[in-house]
Amino acid sequence: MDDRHLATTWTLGLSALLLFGSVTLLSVPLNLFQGFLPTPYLPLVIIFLYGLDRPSSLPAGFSFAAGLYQDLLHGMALGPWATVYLLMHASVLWQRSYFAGRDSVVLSTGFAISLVSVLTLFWIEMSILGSRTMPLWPLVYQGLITVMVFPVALFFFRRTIAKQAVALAG
Amino acid sequence: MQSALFSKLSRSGLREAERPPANLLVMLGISFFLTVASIYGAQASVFEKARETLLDRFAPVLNLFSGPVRFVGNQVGNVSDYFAVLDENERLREENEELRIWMQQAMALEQRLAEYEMLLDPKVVETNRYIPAQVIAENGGPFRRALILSAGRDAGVRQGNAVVDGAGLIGHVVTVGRQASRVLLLTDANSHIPVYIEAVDTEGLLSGTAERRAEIQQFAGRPKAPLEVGMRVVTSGAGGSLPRGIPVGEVSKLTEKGVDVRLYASDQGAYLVRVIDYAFPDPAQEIDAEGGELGERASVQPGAQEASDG
Repeated sequence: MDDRHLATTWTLGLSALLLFGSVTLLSVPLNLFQGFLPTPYLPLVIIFLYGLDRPSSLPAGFSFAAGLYQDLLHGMALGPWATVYLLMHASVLWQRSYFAGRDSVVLSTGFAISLVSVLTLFWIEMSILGSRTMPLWPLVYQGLITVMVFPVALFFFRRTIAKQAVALAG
Repeated sequence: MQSALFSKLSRSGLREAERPPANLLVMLGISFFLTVASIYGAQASVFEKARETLLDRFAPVLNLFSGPVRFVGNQVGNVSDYFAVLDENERLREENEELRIWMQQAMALEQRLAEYEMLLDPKVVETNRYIPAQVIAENGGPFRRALILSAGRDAGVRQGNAVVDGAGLIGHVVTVGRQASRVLLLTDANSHIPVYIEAVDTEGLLSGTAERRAEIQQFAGRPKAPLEVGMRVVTSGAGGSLPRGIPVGEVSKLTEKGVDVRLYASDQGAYLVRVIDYAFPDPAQEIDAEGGELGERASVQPGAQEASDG
């Protein structure tokens, strides 16, 4: 196995580990601040960040599989989370040329807009599946926490990528 | 410099993918199809089998994740407890005082019950078996409210079993794997449990709301007295899947459609729970216990009764 192949495998493995680990983390009873703080949607953050900076490291199949994994793990109908993750994936790829090189405030705003869109669709899906209007507040609250976490995740993600780039250049 | 370097990287990275690949759109189509299919067959055996298999495969992983998280959570909890120790002490004193009074009443009632049992000689068949389990995962989603337990089919857990903690009913088992099981909480929108409001001698259906409360909107009959806040709600045992009399909660609010119920058991932070393996009382067993008296009554077939009437 040559170095390039090894590097690709490592990058793909890392992104898969991050994505599936974050989905699993959503099921772990973290009970942040006595349960008043819901776990942020880290898988959506990871999909957005990879789609933005390293789309080849996180193929769409990973998002699809992670969504199905979450649907099954949560004992839900099959499909809603897979749809949400793929739509987030598609939205960031569509807007990639606009986001390239932009300030973190623009990126955070872009993420927030994408998040609102995909979570709205999720709410509609769940309301149809549940045959009743689902409460919006828990979704809004968890989405808000996710938006607040995004700039921190962006900072660490970009720092890691910059370090990798310097290492590769060296 | 870092941002300049990143900007350069980002722009060069554009070559990697300019637009969503076709396979993404295909997978998106499949996801939509699966979602629509789920509307008609969410509980289809193929989906259920997949859920069971995943539950079994990932139970050790979830256990691995939840262990350290629980440890850190407990340590943080211990530290924060130090700051509230005085208030907590005061609260416990008051609660202790109240419990002492209840204990005296309970002991007196226990004595009276023993006397009645001695006089009546009832043959009550104990059909409950308790299976202890740990909560290893919970649903992080905003709508679905469920827990994953460390006990499954191997421990004797069956679909439909009630799950309780120290305070009362939490929910019931919906998916059973070999080593793990999923519990649908009372607050889940898909949860519907037959309950009984003791003070008004009325049965109803307790439904989850996807929020941290449950409600009763359907009653088996007109309540025999006006409903009031604070009335105790227990399981009714209707349908035979849950035992009768498990504490559920109390009426917290009267609404136009029915009543809101404040649940005794919290839907968050549960760790050690018990699964009640309940078997609906077997008439044959009761016949044996009654020493044949009931046997004679039970042996009368409906057809025979009609024949004798005729």
